[in-house]
Amino acid sequence: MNKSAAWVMKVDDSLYASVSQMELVHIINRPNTFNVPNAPEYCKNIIIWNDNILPVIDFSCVFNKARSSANCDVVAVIIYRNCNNEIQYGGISLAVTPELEFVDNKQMCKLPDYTGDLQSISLSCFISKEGHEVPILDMSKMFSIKYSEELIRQNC
Amino acid sequence: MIQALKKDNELLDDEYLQFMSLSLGNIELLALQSSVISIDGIQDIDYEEPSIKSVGWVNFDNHRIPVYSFTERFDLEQSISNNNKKICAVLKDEDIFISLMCLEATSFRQQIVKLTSLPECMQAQPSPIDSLCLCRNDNKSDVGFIITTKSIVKYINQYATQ
Repeated sequence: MNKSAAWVMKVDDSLYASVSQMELVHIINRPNTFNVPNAPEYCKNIIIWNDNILPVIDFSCVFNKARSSANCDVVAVIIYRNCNNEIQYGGISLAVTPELEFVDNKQMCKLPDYTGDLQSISLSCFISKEGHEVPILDMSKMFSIKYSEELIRQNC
Repeated sequence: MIQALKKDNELLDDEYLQFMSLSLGNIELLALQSSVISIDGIQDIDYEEPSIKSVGWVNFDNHRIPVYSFTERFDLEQSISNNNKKICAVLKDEDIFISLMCLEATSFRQQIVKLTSLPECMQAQPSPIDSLCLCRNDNKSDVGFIITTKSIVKYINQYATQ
């Protein structure tokens, strides 16, 4: 059976999310971050990567409603297309380095109910080799203004 | 306005966009030097009947211009008695005038390498920041926050309706 590669990103001990292998282009340890005044809590930092300024989304803030950290231990640089179909780059702040896993169709599962906040940005879900239910996220939506408005309404 | 000058996200080669740095304390805002038409002191402020959310007025070339003071979190201050800002930078864009109080107004010396729009995910919340710039000084990279007359006015109007 054909397998696809996915990066599994840990949000906390019970919550994981993933993107396809091709969407994650670089992993940076402890990058310099710049705080953008008045930016939404979940994406108030930016980093410089290859002469590009990238917004950094804090997963723990999005999914656990925790306060965003000033520092980023690990940033996963993601490539995606915006609503104008233009290639963009963004960062996701994580506590630990994501792991690459090869997934086949037999591992697909229904999106669990507890991940209510992930529903609108999840494409599908699979059971990881560790037995976790891992939603596959839509990065274009994640970095969109529409999702940002939704999160702000939810006070993140 | 800034994006009308440059295509978004292109590296700037030999061209030099001149900016002024307006300090609010720990935050510096960059405004195109050509948009800053006057630098006044607080002694020039008329505090009589300020407009909504402003602290007073300054006069320039027969125009009566509202003066605004932001905190570092971009809250509008209604009184300046407790702040250290002593300077009013007057910005103009076509027929729009606005004055911003700041601690310092100086020429921005770093090289601006690239301009980029404020990321989409950051645009959902009102902000006076129009765009960002990648700056370089002695091989060290930095990020600048660019404001325009229009972006300030838009933010104030949004803020006033909250």
